[in-house]
Amino acid sequence: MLRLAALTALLLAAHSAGGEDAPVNTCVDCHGDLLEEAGGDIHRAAGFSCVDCHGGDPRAEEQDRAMSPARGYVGVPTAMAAANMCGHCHSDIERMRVINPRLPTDQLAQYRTSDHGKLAARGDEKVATCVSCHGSHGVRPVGDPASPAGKSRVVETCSGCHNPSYMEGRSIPTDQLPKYEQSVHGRKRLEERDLAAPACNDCHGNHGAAPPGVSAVTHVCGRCHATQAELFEGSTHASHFRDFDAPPCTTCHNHHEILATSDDMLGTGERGVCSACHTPGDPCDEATKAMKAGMTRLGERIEQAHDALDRARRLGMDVERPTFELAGSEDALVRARATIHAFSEERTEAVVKDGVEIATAVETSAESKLAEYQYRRRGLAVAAAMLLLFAGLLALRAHRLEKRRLQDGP
Amino acid sequence: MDRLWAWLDDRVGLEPVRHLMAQKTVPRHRHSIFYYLGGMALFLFIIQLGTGLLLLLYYEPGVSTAYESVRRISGEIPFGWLIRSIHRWSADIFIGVLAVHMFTAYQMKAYRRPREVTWLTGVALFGVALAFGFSGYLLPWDDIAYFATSVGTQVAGVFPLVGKALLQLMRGGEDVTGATLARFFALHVVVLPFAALGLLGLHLLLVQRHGMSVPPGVTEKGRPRPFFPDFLMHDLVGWTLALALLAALAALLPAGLGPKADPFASAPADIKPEWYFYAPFQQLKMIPAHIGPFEGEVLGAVGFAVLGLLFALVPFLDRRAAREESSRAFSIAGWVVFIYLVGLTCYAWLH
Amino acid sequence: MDEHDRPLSPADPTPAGRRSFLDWLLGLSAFGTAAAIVYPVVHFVFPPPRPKGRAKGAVLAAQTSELAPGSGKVFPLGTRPAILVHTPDDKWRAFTAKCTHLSCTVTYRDDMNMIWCPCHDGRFDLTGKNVAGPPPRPLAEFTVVLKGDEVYVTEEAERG
Repeated sequence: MLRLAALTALLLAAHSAGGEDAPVNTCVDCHGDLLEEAGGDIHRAAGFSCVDCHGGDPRAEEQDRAMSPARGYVGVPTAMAAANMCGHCHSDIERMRVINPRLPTDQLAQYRTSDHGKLAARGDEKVATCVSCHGSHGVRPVGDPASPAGKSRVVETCSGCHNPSYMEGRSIPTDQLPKYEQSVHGRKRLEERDLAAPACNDCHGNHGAAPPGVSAVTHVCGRCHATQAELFEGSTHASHFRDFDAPPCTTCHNHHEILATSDDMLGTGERGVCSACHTPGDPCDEATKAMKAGMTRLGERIEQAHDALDRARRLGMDVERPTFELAGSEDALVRARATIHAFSEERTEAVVKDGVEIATAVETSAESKLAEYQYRRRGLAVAAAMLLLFAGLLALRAHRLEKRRLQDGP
Repeated sequence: MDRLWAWLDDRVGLEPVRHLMAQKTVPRHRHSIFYYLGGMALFLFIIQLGTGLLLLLYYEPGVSTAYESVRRISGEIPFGWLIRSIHRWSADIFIGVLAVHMFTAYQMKAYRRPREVTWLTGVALFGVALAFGFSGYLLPWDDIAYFATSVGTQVAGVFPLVGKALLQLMRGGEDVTGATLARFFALHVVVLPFAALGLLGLHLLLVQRHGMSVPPGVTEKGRPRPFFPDFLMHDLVGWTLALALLAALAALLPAGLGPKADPFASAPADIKPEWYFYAPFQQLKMIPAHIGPFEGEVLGAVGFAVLGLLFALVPFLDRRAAREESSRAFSIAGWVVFIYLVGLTCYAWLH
Repeated sequence: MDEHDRPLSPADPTPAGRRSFLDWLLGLSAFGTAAAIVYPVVHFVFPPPRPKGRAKGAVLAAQTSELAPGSGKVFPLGTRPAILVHTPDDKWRAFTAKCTHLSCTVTYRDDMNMIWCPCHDGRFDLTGKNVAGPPPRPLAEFTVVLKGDEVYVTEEAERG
């Protein structure tokens, strides 16, 4: 139905234009379904037609002539050919400036450096090209939620190829998606639909997609986790990791499977990540033990302060201000957990000390509120004594009256 | 003093009042201790009026102010915690005393002719007291208040035919919202106090008119005790002790305040109503989902309503007592129901 | 009740002196009881002054003189921290001071004219928008009301 309407519209357009240089397009006589697929295509909207990508002669009535290589017909371009075809326009700075001055023009250049591009250059037909992520006949701007390259669909798009069945026979790992699903980033992104959490392309790049090299990891992670990256780079660990050719960040936190952190990761214990290089009891292990103990202590103090505030609040005491102040202590704990990336016992201890001081002050003021509650009990004792005295004397008086009644009685 | 009395008497007519007071007596017999319960209930009601009025000075109804104002009363206003805690505790004890007052009046057959209307006003007052408790519970607008009211009004919704309308009427909509708070507030501080004062006035007037009832088959011991000052003095001792108890409870176990009501939060675990609703609450929880062709919940709710109705109509059902004869069947039925309710209440308490 | 207190019958065993002492004590305790009731009630009826700067639903965040353009301060909005910013182009804005990453308290950095979270170097511009570091979303904004030389921030009318 839609197809018919489209065709009619096209024919009418051709007719009303008087047939001068009306865009006669015989492709759709046979490939009408593709026209329909191209419904909201950004290129079609900009006036491009089949011939602009596929070549051939759209005015020819016969199929042989229309799709004759002699008339420039290229058919379905694959691999590098497809990338080059898109790049023909998209790398043309002068041309793109006219159409959309904000669009970058380095996609092809980037693609050539990517693993995808390198394989494509070698003639690999199964590798991702522009159309694998952006689509072919229904290309939408990346900002469109329906675009497979857009924020909301990019994980689905990448894992459409990076899975065991598509990658069969290749040597690269295919467990990225299940690992990512377990990670803090994946949980945020996929379960909570938080589009601010990083997806595949946030670490691997878009057109130049490739695994970050050992030296790049800190920069990639550090783009968001700047504090930890800076502390790490300033620590003695940075050069040691380089010497061992161990990637920073991911050596302890994994890649793809970047789990929620825990204080137990510190040290050589059961969940400790240091044991890859350190042995229990070495000076570094002792230092991490102290750091961990400090954070545990701070966590406990915060907990205690919360308890004291809760008790006071339940008794109806106003603890608004100390509750506000306790946030400073909670900040310190978060900050301490970042500071450990300097691998300095003193620096961590300094942060922990700040936090403990605040928590102690809060607890003290909560306790003073509780003391006020005790003061009420003393007030009660005085009042109750007065009331009981009155009741007792009154009872005595009533008793006397009763006795007299019995004597006065009949 | 005498001149002042004469002056007032001349203008107001106090002499009949004094005469009435001087004439009023309370019978003496082995059950006469129970005559103090009515006075105790009256005292606690006055405490509720007084503390309620004081709380009204600072309480601000409304979703964005109710919780904050209660927090201010508890935390900022001097002795606010005391007034609020006494109001809370006194409500509990008030309903307990009323229940015992009603039960002893029942067992002493005080409802028999000519005191049927006294009995009816008494039962109505108990209903009003329960409504006071239920509506007052929501007013602090904290999490427990909110969910207890949600669950409580839900029970009203199970009644056949009228349930849905009743639920809407109570909640002022589909859910417990600010609209519910507004109408519970109006009920608690305007409608119920008027109803209570009217019923109480009638109740006391009738008690004056008929005097104290002596149970059938009980012999009086000696001359009746003058109400004034003898009986009143004993009353006063009891009241003072009650006040001391209230102050102690308020200071040792003050009324708490949970986090502010949040309709989107999940209900706290094992939400329970006030203790005086434990019996129907437990009944509805324990009743099987289906009994014959009826839904268990509906049957339970209707059962309690019928029980209440039978209780109110007992003066007209107990023909033997009306003839001043002993009516053991009613005494035993009273005990059975009493023990059943106390049992359910204790069970709910412990679970 | 004195009305009915007729002269003592000769049979009353209580000596007159003890009786009058007991009566005196009764009066005293009655007075004490009345005081124990009246004292809290009188104190209750007169409200304490509202803590300074806490009008209904709004909090006094600062004096205008306190914050020069290009500065900011963290203040308590109830139990939660909030940040008041006086922008270099002389606008007043207030946001929640809880970073959208891990809830640390953010501060104003005059060297970069940004709101900055010290825990993980998260940065927000002066409209509360997250511009760098791990914070996933902007800071919620509160309404600021200027009244004379006082800056109030309302707890409600929170804009996300």
